[in-house]
Amino acid sequence: MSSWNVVLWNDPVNLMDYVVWVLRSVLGRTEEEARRMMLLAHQAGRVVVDVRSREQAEMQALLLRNHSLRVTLEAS
Amino acid sequence: MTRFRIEGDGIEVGLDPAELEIMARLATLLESQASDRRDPASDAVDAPLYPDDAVASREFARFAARERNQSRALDRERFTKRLDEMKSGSILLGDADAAAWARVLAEARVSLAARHGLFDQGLPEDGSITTDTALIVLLGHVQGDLIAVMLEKMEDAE
Repeated sequence: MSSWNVVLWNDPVNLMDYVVWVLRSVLGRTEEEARRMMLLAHQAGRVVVDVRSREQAEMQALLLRNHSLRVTLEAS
Repeated sequence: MTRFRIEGDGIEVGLDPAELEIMARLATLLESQASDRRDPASDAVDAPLYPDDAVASREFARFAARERNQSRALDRERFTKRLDEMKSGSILLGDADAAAWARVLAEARVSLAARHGLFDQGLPEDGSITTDTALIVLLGHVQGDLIAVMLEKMEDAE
């Protein structure tokens, strides 16, 4: 089964701490992981926040988009 | 005034009357937007899910739109209901309430920014402030205070 990267894109509107909270509450990341991912997105413009099957990746993307975050999927 | 603070298992809300009035109008604004054919917040975050596959992206968008509309309507309903309760005194937000408030505030900020073409470039750095950019900033302060308390609660629970 193929794997898909869940890619979170930086945006200049959502608060950094809000992104950390979303990554913690939706993806179950630790505070340290979530903050590192948020900073990577902020600095590099994007970060892979999860790698899943296509169906699971779509569900993750849906949940993250429901939190007003910009997310795309790409083949891993 | 402290806008949010941990009280027992919940989060006590201490918005001042002016902020309360703005929050009440916010729910109405978002509801009217939800009935528009084009939703600025959705357009801002809904880039094609698969950048190289337009067909799969459209299929996902159809499925996601229905789910998102339901989810946002529930959040707005929860947000408005708790705000109304503040008219008769202070309220305590449970975890689900607080999460709904955080999402509603995020949606509002993204919507306002998108409507003014600010979602991609951010707020102006030249100091020019309009009513809407001031509102985005104010909502950011409210959301930031709420998120700080929510993260603190998460830490306490670990």
